[in-house]
Amino acid sequence: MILALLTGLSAATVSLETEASVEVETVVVVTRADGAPMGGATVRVYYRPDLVGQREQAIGITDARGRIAWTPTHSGIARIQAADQARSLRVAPRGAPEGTLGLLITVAAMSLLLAGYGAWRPRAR
Amino acid sequence: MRSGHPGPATRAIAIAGIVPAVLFVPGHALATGGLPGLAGGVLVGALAGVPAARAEWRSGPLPPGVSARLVEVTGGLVVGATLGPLATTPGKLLAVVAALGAVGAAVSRWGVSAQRALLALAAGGLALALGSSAAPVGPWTLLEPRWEAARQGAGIGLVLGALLAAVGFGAWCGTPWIPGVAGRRPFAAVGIAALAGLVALVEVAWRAEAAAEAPVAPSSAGALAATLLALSAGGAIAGRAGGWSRRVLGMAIATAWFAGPARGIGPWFWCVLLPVAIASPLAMRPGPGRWLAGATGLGIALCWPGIPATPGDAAIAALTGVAGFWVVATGRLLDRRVA
Repeated sequence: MILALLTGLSAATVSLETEASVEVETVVVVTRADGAPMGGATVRVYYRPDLVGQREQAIGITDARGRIAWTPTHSGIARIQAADQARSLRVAPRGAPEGTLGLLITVAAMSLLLAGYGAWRPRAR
Repeated sequence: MRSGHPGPATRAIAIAGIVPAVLFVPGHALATGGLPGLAGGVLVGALAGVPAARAEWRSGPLPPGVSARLVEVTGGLVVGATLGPLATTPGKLLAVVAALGAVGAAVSRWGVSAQRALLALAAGGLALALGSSAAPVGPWTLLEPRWEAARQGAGIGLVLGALLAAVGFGAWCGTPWIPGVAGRRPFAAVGIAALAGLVALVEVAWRAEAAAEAPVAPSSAGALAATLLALSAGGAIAGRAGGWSRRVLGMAIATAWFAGPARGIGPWFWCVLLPVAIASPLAMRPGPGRWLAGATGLGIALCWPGIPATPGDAAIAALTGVAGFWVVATGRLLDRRVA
């Protein structure tokens, strides 16, 4: 029971003041399980966690109010790690990435072209 | 139809193999590396797979007896590897086996029209999955081209290209050869399979982005689509000439195998055992098939999934390959004795 109590007390909650958007500053707030701010917690973010191209960014250490400013540098899936807690979130992009959109359209066009050419039956003359 | 030709089953293997490979292979490079893998697969399929399929068609049938059993065994394993991970409880396993039996009987009786109905339902399932997961966020994280994953992406592309080429071998069978029309079937097969893969990939990426987590569990609609595709493949295999019940029994055993002991060997099956099984009959004869087999070998080397995590998984992967080989070998021996 003592162990459970200690675990409960040490568990932190990670939240954001505003929705995360790329290159827009927001504030990460770290609180204890009882709602008290957790100062001195190291906060870092992983962009594309557990995927190819994962990037790690150290945000810093929270102040006495359990807060620290963060400006996301990459859009997409991310994970914030603070003390013993992690929170998954999505960083909104400014717009659809041009390279991805271009490749997506190209693959769709190639597939449609092949399917259409294969399915087209020329009329017998 | 040319009796005993592997065409129907190879087409079914490829159709069933591509979408589940995108959806279910854990940590698959196609999703983590973005779109380049799929784009590479379409290019390999169109530029190498289709010409190789057509050249193979012109140069005559594959060696008799070599491929029929091999394709039956490979097809059964593909169906099992697709359905097994979905049969998470004994009740689901029973339902899947019952569905296999029903589809096998239906395709034996009504032929292609039953298969078309299944494929149409599967397309509806994929569209439903895409529609239900289209939250107001972009599916960009998993679709983002990651060139540092180019090695894995190229490997998956080559393997997928080989699978798409196997689809092209559908031109061997089915309706009688009509110059100028049936010759286009490999193109259609590559295009449709690539579209299915693209829809599945976008759906997975969209759901991951909405949940802010990757990898994500398969959606129920996506799993339904994969099940229907696998059942369609199973129907094509069961519906070949001869009795269908034995083949359905084999697929049920394969499903139980992948639902239980072989649950952890997914990447090994999709990235190594399956391409080897598809490429080996091509390598047995001179001509463009050997180039295709070589490309598949290169793909396997590039997307090598590494040594299995546990000795048990390694043993089960080896056992799957060895058992498949012996089933093919003894089947050929029995066929020769009967002949």
